[in-house]
Amino acid sequence: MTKKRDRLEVIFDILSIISQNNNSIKPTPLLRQSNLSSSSFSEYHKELISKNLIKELYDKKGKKFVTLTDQGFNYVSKYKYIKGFISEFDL
Amino acid sequence: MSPMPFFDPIRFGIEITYTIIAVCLFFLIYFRTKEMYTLTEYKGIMFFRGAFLFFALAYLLRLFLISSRLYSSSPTFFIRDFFPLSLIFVSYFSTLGIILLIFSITWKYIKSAHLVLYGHLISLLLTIIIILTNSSEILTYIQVGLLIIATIFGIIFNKKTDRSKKSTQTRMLYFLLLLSWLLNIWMLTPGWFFPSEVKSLFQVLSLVVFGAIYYKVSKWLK
Repeated sequence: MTKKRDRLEVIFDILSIISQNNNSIKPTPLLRQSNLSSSSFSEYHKELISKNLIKELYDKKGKKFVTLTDQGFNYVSKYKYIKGFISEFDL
Repeated sequence: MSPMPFFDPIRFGIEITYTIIAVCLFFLIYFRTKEMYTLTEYKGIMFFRGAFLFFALAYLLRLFLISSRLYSSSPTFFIRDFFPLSLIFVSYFSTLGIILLIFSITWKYIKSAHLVLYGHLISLLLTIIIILTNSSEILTYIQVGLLIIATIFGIIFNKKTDRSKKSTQTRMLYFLLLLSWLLNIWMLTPGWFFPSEVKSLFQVLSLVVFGAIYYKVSKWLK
């Protein structure tokens, strides 16, 4: 049985998916690839926008895309260190 | 102005140097982990940072406590009036620092959204006891109790979860951090019976502990 992901890990996974898709992905494939229920995904989505980790953009046809902000890229690049810090200090 | 019979400039110089180094290390830990907290808003990091912020303030105020003690025999010098006030703030900040450090490792097992509020309330309650008694000895006894509680929690939660050798070392450093604080408070009471050299040795050893914690933190700050 796989271990349940913690909140930080879920956020990292969502941000990584966006990053791996050339920093531009539609919400539906993001939901599918993130392996979350639609209600959980919706909560995370709102949280990430409120924390300025992601932002929503619209193309010329009015389709919605999700991209990472600088803060989001920063989270992805520092995730390994953050997890290491939390583990070392038992936080 | 009456003479200050217990004033030892070398001892006071050592205290100032010790406080500056300790406070700088604690503030460095607090400020350098800010980005990590801003990115994640992780509760454990919040408690951890809070603990070091309040320890920094407690050590800084402890210096005022020492100053007011040095001038306590003077009938006119206003610093002596700082003693009760300094003791109140030292009690509050240090108790809160200890409690937040305990919460930083136990918050996952205590299902409450009001831990910060409880921390402030407990610190306030203990500070009221200190105000009523105006005694740094009582503060030492109360905080020895908190150290015992912290140690018990450390042992219980260490057994409950499969922790790495690294985190066991960290818990040992936490224990030494709290012990250093208690020794520093004990040094201010009439009950301290060791010579000044032993006091300095304890302070050097405690700086090694603070430095080790800062080194462990800085490894993860890239």
